[in-house]
Amino acid sequence: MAKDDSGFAEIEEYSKKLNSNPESLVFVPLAEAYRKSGMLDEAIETCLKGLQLHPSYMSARMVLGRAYMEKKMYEEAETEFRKVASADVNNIMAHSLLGQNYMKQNKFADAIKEYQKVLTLNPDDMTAQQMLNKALELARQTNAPRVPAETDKTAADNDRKKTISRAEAFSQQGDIENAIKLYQMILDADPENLVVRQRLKDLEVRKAKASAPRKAPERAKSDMFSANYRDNDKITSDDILSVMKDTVPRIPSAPKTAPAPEPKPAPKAEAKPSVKAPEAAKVADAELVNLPALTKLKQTEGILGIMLMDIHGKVLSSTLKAKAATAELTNTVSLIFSKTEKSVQVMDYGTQVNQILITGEKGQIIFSKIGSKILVVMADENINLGKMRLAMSEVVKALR
Amino acid sequence: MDFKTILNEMVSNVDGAIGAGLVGTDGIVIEQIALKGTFNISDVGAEYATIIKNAKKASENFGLGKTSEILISTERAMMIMNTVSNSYFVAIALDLEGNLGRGRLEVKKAIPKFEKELT
Repeated sequence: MAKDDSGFAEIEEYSKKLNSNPESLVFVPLAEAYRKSGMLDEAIETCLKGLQLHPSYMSARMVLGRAYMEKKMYEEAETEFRKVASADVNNIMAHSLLGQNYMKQNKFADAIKEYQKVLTLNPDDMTAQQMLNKALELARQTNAPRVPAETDKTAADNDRKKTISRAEAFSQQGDIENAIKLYQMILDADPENLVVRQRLKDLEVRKAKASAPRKAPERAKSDMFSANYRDNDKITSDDILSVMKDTVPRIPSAPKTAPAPEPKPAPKAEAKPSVKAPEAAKVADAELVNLPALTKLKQTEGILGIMLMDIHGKVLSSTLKAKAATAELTNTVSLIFSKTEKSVQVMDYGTQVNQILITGEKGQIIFSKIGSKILVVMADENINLGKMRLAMSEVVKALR
Repeated sequence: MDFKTILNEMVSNVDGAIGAGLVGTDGIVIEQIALKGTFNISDVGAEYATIIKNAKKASENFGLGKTSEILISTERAMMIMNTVSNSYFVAIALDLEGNLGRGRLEVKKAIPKFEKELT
């Protein structure tokens, strides 16, 4: 039953709104208010009625699933969460709730799979990591079936990482055929690995595009941003490397068994007409940090620090004084970009994010993506945002 | 005043607005409106929630304290996201010709109204 007045007030308010417009989507916050107040039957009934009118409204299915789970109707809850996860394989919340639902039923092996999916989608999710550890521990204690021993799991993970590393090396050399073969192998062994599935899809698109006749002017346009920019890569080695948690070198060592030929020892840039050689890219990086526009930006009043990094997290130049370690900062920046890019692609707002500005209590940070590089600028709370963006646009122009 | 009314008021004053939504930090969309057919925040509520979470983390890591606003620009649109109390955020999307300054102002004006409704 309801536990406090604020819950009742919410219910009353949303009920009025729903009564005045029965087709409104307000049935979701109403059902959520019922659920939070412990009125689970009412929450379920409200969701079921609303879903008759809006069957594809996934938020309602999430609330319904939660209400079922709290009512210990675990099968029904699973059905709802599965519907959401099927509609959107990247829905972290659905996988997390599936994990919770399995934990409540002591189905630890299934819970482990779900938390692993959450961590694949967001490697920084500490709650999912804790729950995964808990599930692994409980699975060991209860000798749950289908959970590999930790050593087996580690060995399998290492094999997978090595194979991913080799596949990425092939991809960098432009050997898409072999990269696809290796990713397909990983996917066969782990069919629910969403990042690998997406990477494979990207490579197949790339292969298809490579076999189609090229339009020279368009190619030149995208290369304008960066010699290393690859417009087909929605989930790139950023995501792959974040899944691998920086443990795998980008140039792989020779594995013992291989179904595909080995990548050449020194990875070359992708086989595209305008791609620069690695040595040339190094020279370009060194020149970048001494750009007059960058120096001017550093001297702008209110700028607290600047960092120029590549999309893989390598710092090219930095005057930032932050609380956290540089590696943590670069990981966070890369993660924000990859998540934001995924969301704008889903919303059909383009394929890449140009700029992200975060305003905090004590200042602001702007991340600008320029080809394969990210410029991070931190400013105090009094900075004129317009002037700051103007100074940044000069840097962006110069870098391009 | 209901959420839809607040969202409508918010976007009606912003040139180039595509749509807006009120979303929980758990990714559940409370209410949304679309001025152009493509806007459906339900599809990305969870992704937006992750962006907010990581932006908060970045803000802390960079020593900037509590996050209040996030602006995102792509080659086709701009998005403004502001936190509303601790459990919700409001997002508005604008096309490239949209008035970003006005968008930020209208979102800031709408926040107390959402907070009043949510408490």
